[in-house]
Amino acid sequence: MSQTRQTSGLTTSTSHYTSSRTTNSPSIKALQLEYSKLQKEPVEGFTVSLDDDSNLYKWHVGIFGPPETLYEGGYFKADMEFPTTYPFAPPKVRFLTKMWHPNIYENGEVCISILHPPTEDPQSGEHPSERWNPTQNVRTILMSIISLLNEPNCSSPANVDASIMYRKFHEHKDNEYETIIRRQVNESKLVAEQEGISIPKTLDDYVAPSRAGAAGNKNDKKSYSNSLSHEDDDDLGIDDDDEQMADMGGDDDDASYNDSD
Amino acid sequence: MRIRLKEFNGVAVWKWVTNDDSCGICRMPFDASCSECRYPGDQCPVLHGECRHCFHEHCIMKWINSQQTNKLCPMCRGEWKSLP
Repeated sequence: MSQTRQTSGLTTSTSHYTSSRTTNSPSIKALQLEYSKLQKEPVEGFTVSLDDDSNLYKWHVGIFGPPETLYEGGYFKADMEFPTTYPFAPPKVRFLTKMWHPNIYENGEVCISILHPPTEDPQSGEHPSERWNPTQNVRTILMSIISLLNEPNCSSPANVDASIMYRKFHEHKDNEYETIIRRQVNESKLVAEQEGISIPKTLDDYVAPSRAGAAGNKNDKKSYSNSLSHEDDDDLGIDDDDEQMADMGGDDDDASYNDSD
Repeated sequence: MRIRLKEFNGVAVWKWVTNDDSCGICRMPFDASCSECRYPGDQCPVLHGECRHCFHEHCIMKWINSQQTNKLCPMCRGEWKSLP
């Protein structure tokens, strides 16, 4: 399944993830630009930090459960690992918080079409237009993952058991799925508490992470869903808020995966 | 009165005509070079597609040439056709 293809100097590979630190590499520039932009102007639903300040290829992210969903109030930790060919090849995203979800593998890896290069596995049923392309970025990836949480795609599940369970829940036949998610959300809240992370609970706090209560920025529920899909809303007059960027290190909690690979 | 011009320092500015500030692929401003070039200008031109999206030529060609079948604009995902 993993393939390496060399065309005009560009390696499109899903397994070619390396921690080599070529400082002048275009991928470093792109990641630097994205990282500093996200630090200066935090956006809805997540925070980012670096695993190690000298390595831009590995990011920690903290995803907040969207309000008015099963995931409300949750705090889910994940790692993003970028290839040296970024943005020509997608990063890998892996949850560290235990997630029971049709599109998340047992080891936490997220299976979503925009993280798959257009060439990989034509049998997957994923349309090329839903695949990775170099204008995707950390924000669009995380927005997609956040919306995937509450709206799993059961047509090509990564976790078949979760997918079956989700379908039963969706058809109101059984609510075991809901029970599991609620338990995981509650566990994640404890982790957030231990780490001193404050979780946005209302839609306003969620869409306006560092300006909760700022005048003129009150979004109503309708514009919440719009702003999720709107890519260029840079009109979020933002103040730096270091609280949101609190240290997210320390994975030594029960709700985490063990690093087995 | 006659003036004799002894010396002349011409100064010009240039700018790419684009409908965006920066390249959606490398994320660098169009008036700077793509992240693989050192100097902006003719060495690192901007390429427009029929769909009106534009990128550094190096960036878009690197992506298009790496695609076997679907050569799509990364912005609108329509077929990529370069404008001359």
